[in-house]
Amino acid sequence: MKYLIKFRLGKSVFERAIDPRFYIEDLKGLGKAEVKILEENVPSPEEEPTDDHRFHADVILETDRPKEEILEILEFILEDGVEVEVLEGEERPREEQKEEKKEGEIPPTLLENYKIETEEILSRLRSSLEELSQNPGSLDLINSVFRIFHTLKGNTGLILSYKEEPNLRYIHEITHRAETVLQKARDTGIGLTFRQVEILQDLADRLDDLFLAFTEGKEEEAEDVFTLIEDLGAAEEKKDQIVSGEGFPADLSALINVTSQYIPMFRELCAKGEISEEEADFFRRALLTLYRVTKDLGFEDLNRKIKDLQNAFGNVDFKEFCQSLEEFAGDLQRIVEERSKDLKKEEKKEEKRSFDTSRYIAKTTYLKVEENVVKDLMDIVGEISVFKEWMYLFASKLDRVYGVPEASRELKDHIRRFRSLIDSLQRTVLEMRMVPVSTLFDRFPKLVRDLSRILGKKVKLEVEGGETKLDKVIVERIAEPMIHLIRNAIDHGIESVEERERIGKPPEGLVKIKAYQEGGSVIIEVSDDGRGIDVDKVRRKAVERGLYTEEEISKMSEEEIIQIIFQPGFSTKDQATDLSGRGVGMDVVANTMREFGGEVHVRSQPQMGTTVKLTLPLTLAIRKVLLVRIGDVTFGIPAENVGEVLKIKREAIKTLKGTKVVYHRGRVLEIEFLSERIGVSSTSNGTVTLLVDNHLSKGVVVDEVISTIDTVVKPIPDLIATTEEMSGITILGDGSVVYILEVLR
Amino acid sequence: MKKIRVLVVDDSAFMRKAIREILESDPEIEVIDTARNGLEAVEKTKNLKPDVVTLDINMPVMDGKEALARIMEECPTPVVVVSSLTQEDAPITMELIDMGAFDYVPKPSGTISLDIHKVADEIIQKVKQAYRSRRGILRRGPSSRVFKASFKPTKRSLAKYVVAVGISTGGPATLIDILQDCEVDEETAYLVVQHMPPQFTPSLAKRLSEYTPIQFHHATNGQAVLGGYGYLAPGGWHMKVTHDKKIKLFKDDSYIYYPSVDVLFHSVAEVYCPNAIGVILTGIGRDGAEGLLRMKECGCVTIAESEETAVVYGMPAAAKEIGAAKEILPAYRIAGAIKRYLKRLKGNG
Repeated sequence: MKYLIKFRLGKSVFERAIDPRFYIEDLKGLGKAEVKILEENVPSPEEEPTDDHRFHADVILETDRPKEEILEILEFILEDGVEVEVLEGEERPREEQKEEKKEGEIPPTLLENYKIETEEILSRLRSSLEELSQNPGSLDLINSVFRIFHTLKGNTGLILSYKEEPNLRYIHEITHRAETVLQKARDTGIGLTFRQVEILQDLADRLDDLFLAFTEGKEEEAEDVFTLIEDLGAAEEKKDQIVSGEGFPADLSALINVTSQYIPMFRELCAKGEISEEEADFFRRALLTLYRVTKDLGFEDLNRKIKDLQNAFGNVDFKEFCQSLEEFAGDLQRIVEERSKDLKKEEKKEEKRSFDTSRYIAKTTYLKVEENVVKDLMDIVGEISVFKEWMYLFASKLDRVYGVPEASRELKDHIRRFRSLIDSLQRTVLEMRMVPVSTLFDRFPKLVRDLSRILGKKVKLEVEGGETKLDKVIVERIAEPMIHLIRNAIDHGIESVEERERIGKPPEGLVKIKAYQEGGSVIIEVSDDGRGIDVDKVRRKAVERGLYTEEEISKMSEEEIIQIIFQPGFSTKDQATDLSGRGVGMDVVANTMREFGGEVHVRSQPQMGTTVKLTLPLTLAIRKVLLVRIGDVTFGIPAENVGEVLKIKREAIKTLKGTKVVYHRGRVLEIEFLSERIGVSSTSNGTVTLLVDNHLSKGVVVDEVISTIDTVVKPIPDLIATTEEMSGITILGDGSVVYILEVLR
Repeated sequence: MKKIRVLVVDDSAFMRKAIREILESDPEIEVIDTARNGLEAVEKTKNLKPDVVTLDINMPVMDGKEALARIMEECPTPVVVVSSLTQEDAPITMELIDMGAFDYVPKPSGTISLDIHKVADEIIQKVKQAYRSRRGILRRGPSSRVFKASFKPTKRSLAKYVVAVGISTGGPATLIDILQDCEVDEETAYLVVQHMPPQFTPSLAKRLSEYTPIQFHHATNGQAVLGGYGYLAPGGWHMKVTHDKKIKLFKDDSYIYYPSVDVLFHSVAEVYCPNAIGVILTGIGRDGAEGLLRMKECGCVTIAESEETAVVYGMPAAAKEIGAAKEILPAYRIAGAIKRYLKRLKGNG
């Protein structure tokens, strides 16, 4: 091995009275050394070092020693300006002399305990990280996550000291690094960035994988954790980009936090003119803290000043010291002002340049509220909203029944203003329930990784529109259906690597998840670039399973046939796997969608792939409902199911092969009298009202549509007898209860 | 024979079990109970009166530091700190030892150099020593610590007089106890060797600087020994002084202890005699005894800690045995003696 060791030493070394020639001598002891002194102006130990003092030399060293050993010798002055380059020879890691693989036996009870506790630790870690992701600045949370990593590291370390195991070695490394970052976040009081929490969550995923691999005795490839770990540190360096509560960068607010505690106390003591031994002690400690904080946060100027203050304290007159302290406070003030000016400038620049959503997300400050409280608030707002409608009715009544048109007009004016307030209140409360779908989507990378590993396929996941917001309840409820969809895409859709290569597709399959808002709905699409749905196979299976007859199916379009996959008990995979293909899955998707008024639709093209489109309501909390009257009973029908409302004469209703139909827009429309279906007698004779569904495929007849209201639909209390079309109840402003009927779906 | 009754404190159930198994593999030790956090530890210590407590640092509810403070105050008991031996843990471990913990043991951590048998052995030995030294530990009581401003020499000059100190188990607290009452001036330097792994010596140097009037360097190879400063041998290196009064750090595995007290004392004898004072304090083994004898032979004042205060009466006893110590004194009288002898040396010079 041949090394070039460059010494470029200056004042910093001589301040510590270090003689650099000692290091040259030590290097000579390692092998053949050729020393070229470039500049040598070394002060004697008793001389005060100046900037003119320096020691520059190049050493070419031929030795069989590894680089680590050379670095170890130089470690004391490495940061003062020494570089080691390898000129010739392979850089080989230090001889693994110490790494005698430990192949001992782990006592079985200990191992069992380790497994049990690790499972528990990992689940605790997950939930703590989840909390932390809501509030990455909380030092308490950081501390508890720190402790979890710490415990896991300790436990794993113990097992490793019995026996070397690659998965555990990774776990040990991950926990160690995470611990370091968390400790720093905790001790500096700066907290974490959202990005760092995300990375910690990814690392927690990998810990799960590794632990699983360990328990199964497999070997998990986990080199990717090092990239994550690097990102974790890098994300930390970018910390001054996040903006904390007061609108300052995190480092600056941490500085302000600390200094604002001390400076008033300093001033108070300075005002006294003289101080006790105890107070002097306080000064020293406080200065030390400030010294550390400014150093950690990288405020070099301030750090130097504090060092001067530390030196001055006790050595100069107290008054003089207090003066320097005031100067320091002035400097601090100036720095804070300058930095916040810069910040504002930057912000303006940013705004002009582009609209970067992540900036705004990072700024979000969260307030944690119990879900029930929001739900209650929602109910109240819903009822106010209904009450508003009722007041409007009363205003009309003032005119028509009580004959005071002036009062009626005036009241209506007030109600209009009231209504716009209620509307914005409702929107705000709705907003409170909304969460970005990313809270769900963020779990998918791990799912895809796991699935593709288990199924032996290569799959890339692309996610788009994670910021799209949706009612939290809906986000929770679509989790399972979406997992089914992703499983299906990977298991049934994406081909094996060999097959893909054979047909000229890229070996890595693609699963794409996309969310976006469209009108009052949110659309989520799950698509893959796999083999697509085999229509013939679906057709055959549908007949085999007795879902349809040959004849029925022959009349169906390809698109209609594909939708059969959503029917209960349908699966096309010949061999059921652990993951999917037991005939459950797609019907779960369809059912869940139906439950909360969503829709599911699938498009597929052979060899091009499949796209499943979920159409979801923005929120479950408030629904637009048509209030309809049949006889003297009022019912509600969800407005999203109604495509058209028309008044028709009874004579227009014909009977065709025993079913009632009307001709509408050139089509024969099958209709049904709601009065007959639910057993309430109709009171309208000549004219009835027909509600037609969104696809112009069927209609129901009611007596009259009273009005459209926005209302809170609640589930039906258990004790009330219901029929299947009754999906919920709503309470009107006057206190009456109305059933919501799902008759147009 | 009565067994040593141990209370194991750790927030990890797994670690509690592991440490219990390690301790109970020795026939002389029995684990009477375990505690999950500092608060439980304090209560169980008070109720069960264990002979020795093993204490984890990072715990919920109440951490090791607070628990130690309360144990020492409410029911003094020998405590062995279980530390992960990392640089992050070093300052706090140092603080706990200074607060009255007997010693630390490495937490079985999977670092390559520590295999379980070594770790297990060390834990058992430290618990036994803690038990044996209980009288020394309990007598010492908590020391008061006051932040002290460092002496700043007004000019740079090589030290004419040196105080060389060697210390091992039971160290840091005794070291600070003594050095906080010492004096330093532009002509005097302190050279200290404390048996300790490399992760810990930087924190000790820092702590010494904070709580004694002497600014301590974590000594660097090639560094001149200037008056008015202290130099602590860095873990992992032996420290000696060259004839031109500079520090030479080197490795030599033929010495059992790293850093070696004998190495320092021999070189001090050669370079500074008779203007040096040698001090040997608490510790296991006999490192430093030969070196101290060499110092005494060439006319230096040599002091060994007496059995009265030595937490572990090993190294001072070895020095006494071979007649290396001119004075045998309890810790609380050593600072005064150092001051007195320094004055006398200067008067002569």
